[in-house]
Amino acid sequence: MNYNKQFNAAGEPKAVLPPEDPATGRSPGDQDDGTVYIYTEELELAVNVALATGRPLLLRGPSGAGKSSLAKNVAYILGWRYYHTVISSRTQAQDLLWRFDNVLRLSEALDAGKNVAPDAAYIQPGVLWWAFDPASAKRRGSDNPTVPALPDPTLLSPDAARAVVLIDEIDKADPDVPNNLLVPLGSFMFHVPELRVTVKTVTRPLIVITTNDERELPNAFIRRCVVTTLPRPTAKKLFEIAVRHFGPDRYSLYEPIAAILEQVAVAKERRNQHAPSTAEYLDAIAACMELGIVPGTSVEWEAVVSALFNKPRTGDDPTK
Amino acid sequence: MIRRSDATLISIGDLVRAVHELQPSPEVLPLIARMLQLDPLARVSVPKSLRRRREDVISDVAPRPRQHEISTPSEVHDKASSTVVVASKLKPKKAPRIQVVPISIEAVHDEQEEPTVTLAPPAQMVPATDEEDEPEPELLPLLDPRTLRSAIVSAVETRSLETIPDIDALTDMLIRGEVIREIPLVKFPTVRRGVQVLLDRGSGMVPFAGDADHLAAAIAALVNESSTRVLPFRTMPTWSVYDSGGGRRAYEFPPAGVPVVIISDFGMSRETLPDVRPVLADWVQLLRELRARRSSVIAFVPYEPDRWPRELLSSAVFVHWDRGASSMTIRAARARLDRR
Repeated sequence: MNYNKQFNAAGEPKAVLPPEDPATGRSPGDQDDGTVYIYTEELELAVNVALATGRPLLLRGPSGAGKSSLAKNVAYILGWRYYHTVISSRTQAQDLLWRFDNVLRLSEALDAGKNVAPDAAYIQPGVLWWAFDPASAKRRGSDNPTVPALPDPTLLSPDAARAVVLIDEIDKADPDVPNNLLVPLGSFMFHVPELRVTVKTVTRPLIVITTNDERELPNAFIRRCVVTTLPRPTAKKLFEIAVRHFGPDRYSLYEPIAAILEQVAVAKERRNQHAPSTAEYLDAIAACMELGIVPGTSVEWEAVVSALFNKPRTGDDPTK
Repeated sequence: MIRRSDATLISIGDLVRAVHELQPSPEVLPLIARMLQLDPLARVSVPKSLRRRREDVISDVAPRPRQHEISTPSEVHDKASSTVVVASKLKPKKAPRIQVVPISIEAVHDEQEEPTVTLAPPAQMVPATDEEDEPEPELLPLLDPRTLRSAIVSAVETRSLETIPDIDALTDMLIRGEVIREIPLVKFPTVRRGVQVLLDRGSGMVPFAGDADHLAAAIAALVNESSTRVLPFRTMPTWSVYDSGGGRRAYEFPPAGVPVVIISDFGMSRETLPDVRPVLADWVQLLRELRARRSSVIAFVPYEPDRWPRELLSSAVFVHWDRGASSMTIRAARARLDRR
């Protein structure tokens, strides 16, 4: 495909990993797999369209298609900051903007011996605040020097001007949540009434939103997004992913495991069940490498296939 | 610099912006338009996977009566004894059109019988001619698609306790000098408790079968398929409901607090039958028990309010299932019941 790419999936990664945690010896940026990603041309184009238009990128597709790991890889390649949040059934739209710790404030207000801190001290910025304006988020929206500053929770490139935000599994949220995000995601600004402060950005972040379509999203929300669907990876793509993860030396493992996963996936989809994902494919390879299991007919191999690819669904009788 | 001043829908301006920035070759342009949902042939719709699951929601339930011949369960009904032929609101799927279909009631119903409803048999249909080949206007769904989502949310949402203090209530308590022994919490509306849908497959609901399926599927899509239980029944759910294989089983109450949506005519279409009282008594009993279990009950009824059974109105929110039903009317109906 021929066009001007702001984002080039084959480009040299520009990410800077934050300092290592002395306790674990790992950088926070290493915690999730975001350094390897196999793009289709269409997906690379979708990222570029989202960047060009400033619209959120809505990724649809089955579990394991690579929706959640895309955002971090984009940030990794672009050298942008990276924030993520996983939506749950309890998430409210405001959680992505800020939270006000009313309980702490009330507790301190009722404690006669203690001075109540300025309102800003009870503010916890959400991922969108960090993405829009990290300097303001660090200061919790206040210029008061007595308000303790917060560390930037970015997992990549802390000094970068722009950011990628992953809002994962938005379909888990209550139906009103996407609608309540329309304004901050569309205008890149929101108001914090507790502080009488408006948070806004001049460097647009890339917002990546994923959905498994377990719950229908409002049309008004979808119509504000660049939409693309990630298909379940084919055996060929799985093979490519394995080479990128484990190197080219284990072809004898990659192909048969990809082939069996493909078989299981087709059978499961026919029964309208969830097919095994890329993560399970990589787990199978790792298990075989670690345990010295060769794909074939051995009991050990059957156990790996059963444990990773034929997981029973909730409610299934495990004896059958 | 951000020029867009508000959260606007994607428009042709986005396409222009993308083309200006990306300078795509001609073959890439349609792809970009599709991603921006500006290609009229590529409007974003429910993806295939979800559509398949929606159908499963319906096929998970009892086999839907065929539109050409609908009969009530054999043990309570003798097909030969009663037949009603109707010119139905249901249309044949393709070109054939119903010519003239006389309406007749050919049997006297005894106490337990429901009539067999038969649509015009194929012999009475004539193939459409060429000049008649123009597409027939689609029947409008009973609920307005533009407000369907908010209407469903209003019907099935419950209040859940969250961990956010209710500042207004707290302030009020402090002003009045009350001792705060328990922090009042904000109650958010939520659909996370799931929902049980009682879907009437009785003969009186045949004209609304497509709409009922659509409504049940829309509820499942919005609330989440895994927490939506669709239980089809005929006449009365507590007599039996259908399982996914089409067999019958006993009705089970939902867990306490889970809302129940009933899509039914509550026997109103059978008012000509000798006695609908026993069914009504069972409905009264069911609604009372659901209320005792703190399940809110919303009934979508395809008939006018003046026909609704008065005995049930104090135990459930009745919604006239037509184009006028909206989030606002449903919330108002719920508030009216709460005030009773």
